[in-house]
Amino acid sequence: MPSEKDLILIFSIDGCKFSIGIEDLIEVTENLELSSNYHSEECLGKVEFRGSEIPLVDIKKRLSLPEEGQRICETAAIVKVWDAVIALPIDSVEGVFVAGSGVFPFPRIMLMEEDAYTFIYRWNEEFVLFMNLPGIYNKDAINKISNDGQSTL
Amino acid sequence: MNSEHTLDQQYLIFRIDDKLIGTNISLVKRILHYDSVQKVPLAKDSFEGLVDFDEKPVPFFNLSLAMGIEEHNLPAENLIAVHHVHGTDIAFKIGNVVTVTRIDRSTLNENTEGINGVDEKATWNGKEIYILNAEKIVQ
Repeated sequence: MPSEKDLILIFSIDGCKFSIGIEDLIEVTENLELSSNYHSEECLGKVEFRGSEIPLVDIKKRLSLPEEGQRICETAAIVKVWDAVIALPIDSVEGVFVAGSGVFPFPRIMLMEEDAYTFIYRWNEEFVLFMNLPGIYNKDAINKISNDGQSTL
Repeated sequence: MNSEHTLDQQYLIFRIDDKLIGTNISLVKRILHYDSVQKVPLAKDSFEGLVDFDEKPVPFFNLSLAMGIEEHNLPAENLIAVHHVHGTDIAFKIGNVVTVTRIDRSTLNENTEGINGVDEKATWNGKEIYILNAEKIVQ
């Protein structure tokens, strides 16, 4: 169970409120531009980040959220998952907050994929789902996403 | 009242479409209205999201969908019956509440007409009641 003092980043995707631990966050980037149009089932393209190309993952597809009318996102949370750095497209950032006292274990019984979320935070009369990124993207998936579009020469 | 009758349990009887469903009242923590359901991506089909129960998040379970009962008439009220099953609270979306009553166990039979999560059917006031197995339906 996270401490009440833990810092979390709260953000929105398709009207849902999600959060991640601040220790997984590298930075929030705005005005994203694709540096490579390469895309695959899980990857919307590559973006430049501190001199490297990193994958912009298709998180909506991964979460089975509607993709109609999806525009190229302008904001992304740059996060570390396993040994990779990926860009997580988000609609908006609510901010960084102290977790506080309203922390509940996630009722895993309701999930198709039990490891997708670990906790729920009560924040501003809403429930915020705490993403377990290694559960949403397992190591093999992250390796595939990171290596897709790379030259094999 | 014979000794067998005194062992009869109380059931919450509610309606989903044209069917009467009974659930053991000892599993029900509260019946209340809900305002909104907050969606949860990657949830199982029968779980529509989370509802607020005493400022705590509780999974919202679409009982009619899980039982395979097609709702032709939507209930007039947004009601949930919060059950405690599998060690956790789960809000079952129910239709109109009819009553809380004892079920005469001698009327129970195993003819369930293939409705999911129902092992037995009973007779109450000349009407058929489908007895919900709350633990089973959630699995």
